[in-house]
Amino acid sequence: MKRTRKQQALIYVGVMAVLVFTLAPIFLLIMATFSSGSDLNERTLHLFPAHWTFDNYSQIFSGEASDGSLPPFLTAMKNSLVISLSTTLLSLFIGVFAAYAYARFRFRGQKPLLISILGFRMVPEIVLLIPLYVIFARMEMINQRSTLVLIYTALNLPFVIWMMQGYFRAIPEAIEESALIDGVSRLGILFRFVIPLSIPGVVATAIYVFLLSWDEFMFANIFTSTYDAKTITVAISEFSKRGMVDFGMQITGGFLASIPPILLALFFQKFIINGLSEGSDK
Amino acid sequence: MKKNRPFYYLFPSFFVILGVIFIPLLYALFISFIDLTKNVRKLDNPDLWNFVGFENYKNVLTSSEFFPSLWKTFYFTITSVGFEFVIGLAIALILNEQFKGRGIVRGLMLIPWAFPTIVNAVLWKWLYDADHGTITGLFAKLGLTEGYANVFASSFSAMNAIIVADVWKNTAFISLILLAALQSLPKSVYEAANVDGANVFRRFFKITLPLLSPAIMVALVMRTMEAFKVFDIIYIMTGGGPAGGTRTLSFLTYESSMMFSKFSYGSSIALMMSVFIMIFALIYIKILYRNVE
Repeated sequence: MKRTRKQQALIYVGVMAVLVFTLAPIFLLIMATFSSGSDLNERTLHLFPAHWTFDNYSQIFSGEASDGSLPPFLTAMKNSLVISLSTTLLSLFIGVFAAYAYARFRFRGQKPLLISILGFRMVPEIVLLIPLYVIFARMEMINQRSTLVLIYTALNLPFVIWMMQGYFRAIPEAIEESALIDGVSRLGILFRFVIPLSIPGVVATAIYVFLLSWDEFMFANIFTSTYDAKTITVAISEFSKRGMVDFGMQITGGFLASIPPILLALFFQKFIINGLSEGSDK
Repeated sequence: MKKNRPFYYLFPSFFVILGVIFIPLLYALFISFIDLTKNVRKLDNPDLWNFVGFENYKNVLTSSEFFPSLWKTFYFTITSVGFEFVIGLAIALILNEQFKGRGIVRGLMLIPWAFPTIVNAVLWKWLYDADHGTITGLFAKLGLTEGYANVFASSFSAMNAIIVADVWKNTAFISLILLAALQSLPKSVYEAANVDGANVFRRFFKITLPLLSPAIMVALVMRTMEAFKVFDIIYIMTGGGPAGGTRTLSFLTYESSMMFSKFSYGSSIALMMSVFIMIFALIYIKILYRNVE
């Protein structure tokens, strides 16, 4: 279909609108991280900082506000990284076996089980917050990163199993049958053929799990009260000075906390888009 | 031996899902029928095993906070998902066209989606700040408000401010799904329509929209389920205020149980909320099954 110049121009206007909608808030956020606290409190609308400064960054990395009220930013980043990576690895490891069983074995109750797994993904997290809080408080498992890893793994598992069994099913069974005849064990087949052949699916699933774990706030907020366990989302919610919200710190911390998920999304864009479209009709 | 095989593969996942989701779910149900307040260690107390029946549910339903919360949750869900759908569809249609730098723009569109919810909330809270926020300032400059106004002073504007923030982040999700669906539409149908001389609007309403409808349904139901559970963004932006004006069901549950230690009362709210989510979930599973067949 050939387009007239007018139609083409209209499309570019649309693209510009999309870009402004997407990028304007982020542009303002980045500019604010380079503004001094007093500039941020001015009532003048600047597109760029009135005085460029790196104070926000140096303060956040030194981990101390003038009155010592800043949560240690790097520790929180590290906690989030450890928790998100552990959750991703653990839920993928456990999920891969279950997904393989659903994709390749025949057993009684298979279909109802698979559907109930999808049902577990729909359980609102807030329903689990209260019983889990009661259970973990009684078991004295509050303030441990492993507790969060366990919760996140359980929440993500249904999704991982559902996605992975879909990818596994798409692999022709003939490959596995000939390997079975050659005497390769089931586990050998899973690790040597099935997983390598579904790498795009594994990557897409892993990124979702990582992004969701990095994003999680409600459980992290309730289950961590010491800096040894607090995640980055909790730390950002707590940046304050004398009871007042310190926007300079919050925004700079927030910007830094957004870099890992944004880089992942941009870098694995293709996997995510394909994964989403396939996942939505599976 | 051979028959037991799936069991070994499934056991770890059963163990985790049963322990962290299924049993806690039953436990939540149990908690909602007893009277658990303040001290969670009170469960050792045999008095506690006195069931109070539907007392907690009755208290919730007769409270002055439940139904306003329910309506606010519906208002948030319908309005935000509605805007996300309209804007998301428009973005998907634009990005489906041919233009220079299309790959880059498609990548950039993912950024709000990858943005952590808490950071999104912090960002918009700052933009709306009553003393020096950019949006507040812009409104003042354009004469929409008299000077710097406090967006969070009224329930109505506070709720809409949260919706704007939510729409900015989550529109990308709908665009993504619809863009992927658009790309898989058969070109031949459009060429035939072109020959028949159908104009842009006819093509959109008679071909594109019907062909997209399965993907649209999936995207809408998924977003609806998420929006109905909204919590994080409210926690940061308004804390449920002003005077409960943005207190959605999730926030009411959190407030009752974690702030006022009314665990049983909170559990019954959460479980009633789950009924709505279950209805959305059933619709979702139905659509998925129709798509597969």
